[in-house]
Amino acid sequence: MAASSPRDVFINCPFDDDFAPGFRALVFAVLACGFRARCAREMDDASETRIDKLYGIIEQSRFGIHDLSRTELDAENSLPRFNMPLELGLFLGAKRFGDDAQRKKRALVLDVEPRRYAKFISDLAGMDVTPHGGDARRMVECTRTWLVTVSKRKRIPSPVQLMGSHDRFQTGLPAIAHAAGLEATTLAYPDYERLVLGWVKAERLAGRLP
Amino acid sequence: MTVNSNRSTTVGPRRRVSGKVVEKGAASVLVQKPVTKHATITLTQANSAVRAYLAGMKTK
Repeated sequence: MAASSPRDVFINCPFDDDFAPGFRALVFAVLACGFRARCAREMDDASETRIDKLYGIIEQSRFGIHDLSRTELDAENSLPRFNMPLELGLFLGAKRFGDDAQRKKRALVLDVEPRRYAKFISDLAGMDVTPHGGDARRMVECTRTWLVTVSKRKRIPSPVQLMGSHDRFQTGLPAIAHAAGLEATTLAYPDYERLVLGWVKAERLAGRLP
Repeated sequence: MTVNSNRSTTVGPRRRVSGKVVEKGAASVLVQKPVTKHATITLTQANSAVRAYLAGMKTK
């Protein structure tokens, strides 16, 4: 197994339109805290299967954020979506059965309510699941608190710095995207990632982020 | 299976891509991706966009 990077944070969450504010909030929090966001959306290699791509990302990521909030039945086919629990299982399996580097993995498990997971994935009983109530700003706070705790890094923004920067960025995103020749409502993931990185760089230069 | 070219569709449970539907199975739709990759901005372009936005803020 390849060593996992202490900079890489695997984001395992729904990619549907309803969760888009949450996904963007999680990516922002990870990047603004100085880490690298990894997710299935970064993949664009048709020569590799999706699950193989996920194996690679999970293997390389020391940290993982897993959101289990999407448990309802899909409107189109009346079936639940199992990708998030599957990828959480892969992450936990790598940590349990991997080498020394893989055993250093740390996970943040998010859900809408604190103990709801017991009704659909009871094998997680005893694990700490962090509730966010579906609030994207709360997801930023949860991510920041968790990264401070598990990484022991000292150069992570304070809650006030991070939330202020997040709120300013999300407010300005339509104008920033427009300046880059993009449309904020239809941003591809790599475009969004680069806009956040540009924003974080500017905030650091201005002393608003460490 | 009717082939609709270049329409946006859902692949598996949670990914939406543009492409050509080539086969439909019970649980998923297989899509042949367009040959051209989606063009993305560079980090330099993103930096410029952020600077332009912040410069505009200062003049307001």
